[in-house]
Amino acid sequence: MHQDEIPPGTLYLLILKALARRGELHGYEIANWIEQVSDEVLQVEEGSLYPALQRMLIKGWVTAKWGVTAANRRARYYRLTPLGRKQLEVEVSQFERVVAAITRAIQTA
Amino acid sequence: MNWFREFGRRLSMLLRRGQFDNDLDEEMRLHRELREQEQIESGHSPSEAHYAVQRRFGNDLVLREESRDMWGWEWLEHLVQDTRYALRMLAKRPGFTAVATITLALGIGGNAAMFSLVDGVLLRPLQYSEPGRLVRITGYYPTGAVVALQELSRTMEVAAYSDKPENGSDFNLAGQGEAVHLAGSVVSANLLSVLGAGARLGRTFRPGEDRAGADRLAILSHALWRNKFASDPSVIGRVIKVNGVDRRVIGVMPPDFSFLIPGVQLWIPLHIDPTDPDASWGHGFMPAIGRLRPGATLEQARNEIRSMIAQIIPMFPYTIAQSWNADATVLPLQQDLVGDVRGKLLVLLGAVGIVLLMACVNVASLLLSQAAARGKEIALRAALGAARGRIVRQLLTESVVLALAGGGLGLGLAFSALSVLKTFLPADTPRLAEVGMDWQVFAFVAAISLVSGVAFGLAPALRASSQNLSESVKVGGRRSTDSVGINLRSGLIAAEVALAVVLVVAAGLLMKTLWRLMQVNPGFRGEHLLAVRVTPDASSCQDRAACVALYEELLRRAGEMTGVREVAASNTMPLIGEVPYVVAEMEEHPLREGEALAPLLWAGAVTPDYFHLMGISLITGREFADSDSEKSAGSVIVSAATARRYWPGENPVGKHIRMVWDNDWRTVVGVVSDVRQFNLADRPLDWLQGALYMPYPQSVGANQKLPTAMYLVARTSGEMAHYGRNIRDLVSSVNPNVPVGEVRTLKGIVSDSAAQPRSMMWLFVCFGGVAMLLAAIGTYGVVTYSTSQRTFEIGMRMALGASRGSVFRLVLGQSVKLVLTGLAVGVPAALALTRLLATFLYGVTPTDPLTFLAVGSLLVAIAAVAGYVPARGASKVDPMAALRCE
Repeated sequence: MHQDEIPPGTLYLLILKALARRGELHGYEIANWIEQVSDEVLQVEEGSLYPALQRMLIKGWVTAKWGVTAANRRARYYRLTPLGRKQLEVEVSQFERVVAAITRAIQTA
Repeated sequence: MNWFREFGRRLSMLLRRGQFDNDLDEEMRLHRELREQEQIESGHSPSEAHYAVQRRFGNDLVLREESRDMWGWEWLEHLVQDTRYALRMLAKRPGFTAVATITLALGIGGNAAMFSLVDGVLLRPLQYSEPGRLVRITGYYPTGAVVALQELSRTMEVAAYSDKPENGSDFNLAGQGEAVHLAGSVVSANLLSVLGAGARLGRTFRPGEDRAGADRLAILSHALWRNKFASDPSVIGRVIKVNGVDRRVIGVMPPDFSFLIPGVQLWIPLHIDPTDPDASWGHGFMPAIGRLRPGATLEQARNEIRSMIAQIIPMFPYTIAQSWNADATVLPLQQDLVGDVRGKLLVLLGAVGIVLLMACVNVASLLLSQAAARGKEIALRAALGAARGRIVRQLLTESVVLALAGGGLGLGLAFSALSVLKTFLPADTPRLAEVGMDWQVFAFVAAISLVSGVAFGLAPALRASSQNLSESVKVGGRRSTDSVGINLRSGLIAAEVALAVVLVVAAGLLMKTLWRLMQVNPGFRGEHLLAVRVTPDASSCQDRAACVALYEELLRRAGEMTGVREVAASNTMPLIGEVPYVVAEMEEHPLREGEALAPLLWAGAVTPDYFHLMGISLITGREFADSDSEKSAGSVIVSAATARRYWPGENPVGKHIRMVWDNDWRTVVGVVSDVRQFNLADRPLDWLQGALYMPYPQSVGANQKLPTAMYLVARTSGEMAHYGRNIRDLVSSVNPNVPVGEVRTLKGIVSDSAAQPRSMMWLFVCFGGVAMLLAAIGTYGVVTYSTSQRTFEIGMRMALGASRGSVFRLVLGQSVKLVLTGLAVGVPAALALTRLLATFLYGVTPTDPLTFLAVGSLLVAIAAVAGYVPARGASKVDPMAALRCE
């Protein structure tokens, strides 16, 4: 199965979306959720996931709390803040604008 | 507010870094393990799964660093890291560290001391209220003119004060233990309030308390109150005897009050008496200050002073020159008080700056050779992936750490340097007492440490980090000489020599100035002469006869003392800064355009033996005799220059001079040779037009009274120490109420009069010496280093037949060449800069060829000494050993 890198700038959007849909997730679950919902097309590099999460912590879009997984392992769970929810809307509308523009551009004969 | 919360999150991360690392670690471990499990479930072997995940995850360390960098604290961590590393590296090389730190401490310490002087004297505002509104009205004004200024001025509130014995700042305080003589000031009633100074105890003068009848008051300085009145608060209201007059103490000033002139211990009000025109207009000319009224500007005050002077000139009861105070202006008080000290301090600051620059150059040169020696270490770090910027930053951190260490040590040095500087500077330097170290000096030291650290570290760091990697890591790279480094260092050292030339030339010119001053013939012979000032007050000198008799008695008894050969009395001594004068009219002198009808003349009051005693030669006519008594016809002696000026080509003997307030003319009976009364450099005071002497019994001062304070001058044989005590005993046996001053030798007076040029010279000699030392060390360092790099080449030359002598000359030549390059730059620079010194020089031009030649030879000699050791070492190289060791 061919896997694509996530387009630059959309990682925040995907993480925010994952947390918005699923509530509380730890890092591995976020990566997995993105891969699953994209039918294994989008692959999250761990090398970018964790720095991105740090950045979002600084921005105050997410908070982190230690919890326990179903398999009884300690894991750090991320959760959206109200600020993060607002940011998700911003990122979505931005993304849609860009996609619409690109689509228009490539459909021009 | 968002950024604020964001900063809070960043900060909490910084404070809980360990926790953060652990969290991240655990989080990523979980991630990896879950990923591995996933791989195994999809059919991979555990080890395959492990490696696959490892690959996908990438460098764990880098990832963690990247995550951490997100928080924006990496610079801080690098700084801590770099500083730790720098401290370790410096500790490893104690010799280098010590030399560099001490060198920098010298430069920074000198600068810090100088800066606190400049800050205290020039920059800090005066400690009066609203000091920016205080102004100086230039010129000297009699009491009448002060009152006129106060009434006329719309822009300023004008106040005046006496500042020297001639205008009444000399006081005898009696009735409080032993009679003492002290410096005080006669002030207009509003002076202290114009300054905005209040009393610590009691009050200051009220308006009108400077009018005749209301003026029998006094204010004490805190020091006088403590020393003479045991800090007794009941002193307020007590009556003290000042100059034989009863005055009521109304106040004590606070301990930190610093008056316009140093050393003042007592203030009394002016005695304004409009019914006495002589007292109001004839003498006691004093300086004036003002406070700009609300809304008034300096410019308005300047315009006003000119018109006020024009209105005041006709008020004089005698004719005064139209040019009187024609150049009077209004200056900010601070600028005026600092006066010519400003130029001097700035020149000194420049000189100290040069020393710091040289210290930086020396340390830079040291670092360059260190960088060459550490080439391999740096290359290794670069090979292991350190970016160039990171290496430069690390090396710079090292030099800044070095500079801060130097700054810390320098601060300690500055404390002691400042006290030395303060003793070097003449005691009457304005505001000297206020100078001290404070936080501004600390800030200054921190700033120059950082700046100099970067300045001397940058070039070596850039160079070290740009070394060719493979070349340095190779062991065989030793043979290649580090020619770029040596050229850079040679350039630095040449620059250093150039800076040294500037300082040493300045020191040379100042030395020559002092030497010239000491060669000057002051117009008198001071050998074996002692002078002591006795200051009887009005009560012991109630009338002329009593005073004359007192001095006759003193002279007679002093003449009988063993070891005293000759004795005389005079109202002043040359070169001590007193200027007694009279306003006189010259007979048969045709007035030139703009010349004053009544010129001001320096006025000596002397006893008959004075001229002989002082070695002042009689040119024509006769000296004074005992027959020139109070009752005989008035006679005066003029100086040669005065005779030339007023009666050119004529015989001055027989001409007449009249004090403007007298009816009778006095006859010129003789002409004596000129004496440099005011300074050795023979710069006459521009407001004096000549000099005359009067026989003591007939003499008058500007106050039209007989001078009461006189110097007893004696020629002695043998030790001077015991004369002081003997004279004191003698005077108190004649009259116990007469204070006796310090006994001084005439040679000491002459020497003290050159205190300013001397202090300047010593400071520059110190700077020049340090500069030469730094230049010598620098030259020695670079020549030694380049020789060590050329050992193979030298061995080769010797193997090919070069003699030891020619190798010696080769190395020595390198050192001399360095210094010659420095001279080629330094001499033109010095020629340009020594012009700034012109006002401090006497008898030597700023471009004195002899001084320049001497400095040049001195530096070449130093180059020879600095080059001698490495040259000798090189000539002793064993060619076989040198070639084999490569």
